[in-house]
Amino acid sequence: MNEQLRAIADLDRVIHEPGRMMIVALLAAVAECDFLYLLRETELNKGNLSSHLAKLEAAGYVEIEKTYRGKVPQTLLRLTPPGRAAFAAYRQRLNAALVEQLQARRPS
Amino acid sequence: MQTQSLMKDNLHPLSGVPAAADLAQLQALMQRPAQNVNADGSFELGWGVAVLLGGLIPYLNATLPKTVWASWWTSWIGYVPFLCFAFSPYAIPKIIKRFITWPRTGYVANPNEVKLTQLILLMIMGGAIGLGLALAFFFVSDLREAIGRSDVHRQLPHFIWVGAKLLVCGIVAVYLGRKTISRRPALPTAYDAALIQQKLAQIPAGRKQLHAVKFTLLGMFVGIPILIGGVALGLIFWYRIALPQVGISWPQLGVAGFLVVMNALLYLMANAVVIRQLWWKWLVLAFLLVAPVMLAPAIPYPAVNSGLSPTLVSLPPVMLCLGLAWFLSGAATLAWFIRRHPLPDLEDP
Repeated sequence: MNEQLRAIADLDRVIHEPGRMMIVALLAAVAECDFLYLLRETELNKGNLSSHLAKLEAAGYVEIEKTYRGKVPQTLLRLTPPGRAAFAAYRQRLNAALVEQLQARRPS
Repeated sequence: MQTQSLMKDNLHPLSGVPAAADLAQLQALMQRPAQNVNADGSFELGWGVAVLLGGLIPYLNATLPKTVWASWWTSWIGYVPFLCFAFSPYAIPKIIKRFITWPRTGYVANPNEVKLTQLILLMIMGGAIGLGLALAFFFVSDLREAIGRSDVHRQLPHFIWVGAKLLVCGIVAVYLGRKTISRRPALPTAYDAALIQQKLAQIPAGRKQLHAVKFTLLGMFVGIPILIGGVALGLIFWYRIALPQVGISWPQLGVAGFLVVMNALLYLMANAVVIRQLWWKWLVLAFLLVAPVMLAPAIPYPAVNSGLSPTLVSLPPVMLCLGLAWFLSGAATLAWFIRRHPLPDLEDP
């Protein structure tokens, strides 16, 4: 397997799915947010978003806190330190893939 | 922006798409929370109220009787606008987000947000620095005056007392400075600049690209300040030509021009994203650059008893126009935001 394919094959499968990648990328850029915010930003439906969040929570990447704002239930979401580390590693791998692609374009 | 349309094509590097496209999409997603901070016009409203109050305070000083400041029981009337001026850029966006924005688009806490305690500590530090500089100025001028006299020893307690106050200001400023001004962690980005730079440097074509990037960055860092300075100078000369009959001095025009350009720049930065959808913000930007100084001569100056130096005395009318423009623009943006984002009929799962 060449280096370019290896970099791609090593990508974290939990993050490397379009819906979950959107969720993790948005959560990486904020301290915390609620379910409604992610619903609006990702434009996923409630079921899909819940399912992706459950997978990310099971992997230990996302922390889900059920709370109340006044009398309204609120689900707070934040990336855990392992989640941030996994996303940093994922970005690193994508960057490595980019570099490999750039090097592959090198004129011989 | 449609997130799914952003993400749907060419997502997987496995499909043979260059990783650059994936990273660009990732970067676009990661920038969105910061880009949408002022989508509701909350910053504009907060800043507008602060600038309006900043312009109104000298008028208040000019109209309040001196006796108000003389008594502890009444002087708070004079300080309330100062407090509102200081806290409105922080408090108004918070209130708008809490009661209008978050119920519509969901709660989000951006990293590196300034907390209230941090803000108060920063203000105390700023006050200590300002007071320290003023004390130092008076200390030096008193000392120069006293050196020539024969009874300099009589003023020794006075100098010790001022020196002690200076020392306290210095200690407070340094202590709070170390406590509050810390290097904030940079927001994560999709790109690993160090890795890409390192690898590009190994390829001849990549080295050319790196040189191009460096020249572009240099051009931005040198060119943008030159451009801003040029715009400010051009505006000041234009004000002078357009206002020949009004007795505004060059220093007054300079201070006003600097304030106007800084506000226009801040307006452009705050609306960098939303201005693509709201074309009328370009008109507000043009108004901010041209109108405040042109309209200022028509507004009476609070010249008497305002506590302002002659150079600054023309600023309050300019600030009133600037603040009003910010405030109206913010209110219109908020109305647009509310119309565009109705309250969701949503049950939390």
